[in-house]
Amino acid sequence: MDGRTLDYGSLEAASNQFARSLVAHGVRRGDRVGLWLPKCHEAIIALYGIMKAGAAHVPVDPQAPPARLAYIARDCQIAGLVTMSDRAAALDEAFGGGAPMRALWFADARTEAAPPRVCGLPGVPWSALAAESADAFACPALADDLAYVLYTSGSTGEPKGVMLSHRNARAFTDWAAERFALTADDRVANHAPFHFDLSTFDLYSTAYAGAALFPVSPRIFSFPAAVARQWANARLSVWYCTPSSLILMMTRGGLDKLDLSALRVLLFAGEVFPNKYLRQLMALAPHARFANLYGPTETNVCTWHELTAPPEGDAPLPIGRACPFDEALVLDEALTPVPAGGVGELWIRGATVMQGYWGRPERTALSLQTIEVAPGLMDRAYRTGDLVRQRADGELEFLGRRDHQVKTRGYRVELGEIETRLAAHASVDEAVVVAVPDDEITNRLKAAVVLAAGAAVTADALKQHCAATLPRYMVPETIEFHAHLPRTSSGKIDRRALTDA
Amino acid sequence: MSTTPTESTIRQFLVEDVFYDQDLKDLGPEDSLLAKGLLDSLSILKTVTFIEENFGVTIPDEDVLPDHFESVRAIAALVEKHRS
Repeated sequence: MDGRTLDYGSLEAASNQFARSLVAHGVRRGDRVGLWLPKCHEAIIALYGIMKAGAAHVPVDPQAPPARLAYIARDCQIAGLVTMSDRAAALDEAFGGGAPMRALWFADARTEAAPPRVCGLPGVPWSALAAESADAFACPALADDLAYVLYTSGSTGEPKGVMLSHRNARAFTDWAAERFALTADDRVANHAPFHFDLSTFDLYSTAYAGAALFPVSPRIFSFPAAVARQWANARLSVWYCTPSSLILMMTRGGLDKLDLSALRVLLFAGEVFPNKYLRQLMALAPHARFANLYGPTETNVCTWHELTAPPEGDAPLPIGRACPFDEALVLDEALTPVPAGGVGELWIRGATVMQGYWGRPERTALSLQTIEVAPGLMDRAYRTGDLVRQRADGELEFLGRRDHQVKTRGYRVELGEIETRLAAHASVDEAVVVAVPDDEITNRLKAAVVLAAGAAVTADALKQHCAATLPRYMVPETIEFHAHLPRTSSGKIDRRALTDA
Repeated sequence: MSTTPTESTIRQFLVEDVFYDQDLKDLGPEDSLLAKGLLDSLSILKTVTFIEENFGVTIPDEDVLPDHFESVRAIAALVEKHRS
């Protein structure tokens, strides 16, 4: 990426060196190590080095505010952090003197200059890793140890860490490499940031096949025309990203003018792909395989639907059938199976189901329950919160959510988390956030706010207040001020009236 | 550093409407907007809409590229290119 290449031999050697450096600074099997830096080779080396050391990596949105990083670091008590030198001052301030880490690694720092200090902790410049042995490192991790913890938006106002083991990750990534017939000749795009679980396919299915990975550099990530051009010019054969990013490449990226003859497999996930855009995309690469992958972070991908022809009409594309390593159960409130044609909640059982939410046994117990998965057979299953219908042919259709979780640009957002943040502002009496459907990016976020008596605050000031602790994609695009929020006849806030307004 | 009226207008828009969560009172015309990942995809769409409406130009999609959004000066140059 950015004109630099990294071969698998160098990745192996450098990640062995990094694993040894982690161990030298006290990182042990079962620890967590955070990553808070833009996508770069060092970040990929760090992911492997952390896993080799037997620790779990905790990739945090590189654009997340320092306060959110500090929250996550404390929540799962990270033992180390990989970051960049220019973030040291912000980290020092965010931790306010007390950080859980034993050391920090600065991916851009060289030994010649003293590394920056964060809370008095040792800082390791990346070039110091050269002093470690590059020989094979005996990884102490077992298959059921945690490989990574991914933080997702939490409805009560705090993000929660989804714990996933090596076995969880590989059940999907090994299958996907086989299913989509990846070989060492493939050239695989990496669009998703590493804190987004789409990246597990890019990183680990690609490595499984010994294929070449092409990470999108942070510089071009937000420019659909630049990404589309780069992927076409580099003749990438496998793409996996959200429908939003693919749609923006079509509507604003000139994808139709590019040569997509090298494209062999196009996978998408994270949100519903509107049929009209999917038809356009399939017409641009009629020779390629297209598949809709479905699954919350808690199960990575658990169902899939490969298209045999472009979708007709407006009927939503199915999320498909359970992947062979998982089982999909459609249950009613009493946990009784719903027959085909009826609407029920989707529960997932099997190899990709998470180990739980870090440090939240009560929250975990709500989502992971031991239920009767077949007559006489009890097992642990994950409650997705997604409402589905099973068609007569066995394919599942996604119908919506039971709660206030929404998708925007493929990111999963709990509206409650934003509402909690807005309501924490001294001038705000009441706040509700709604998702306004949008053709290109699924949803745009809009907040409706009632101010406290006599208070005055601008929309920008409230956005600023949100951005201090929330990632940018969770900051409402518009904030409206109301004297009262509209209510339904039963007295609930009328979200539909706010969405339509 | 001297700035043109186009640059001032763009700078004011970015500081007030796009980077409302950042302290950018010292943003210079040649400071990189991309180096620190300041611009996300929605910010870019918002900026394109603003310059199209404010300066009466049409920016074709294939010109919405990192080089043209590197700095306030680069965006102003893009506007000037499409004015003529």
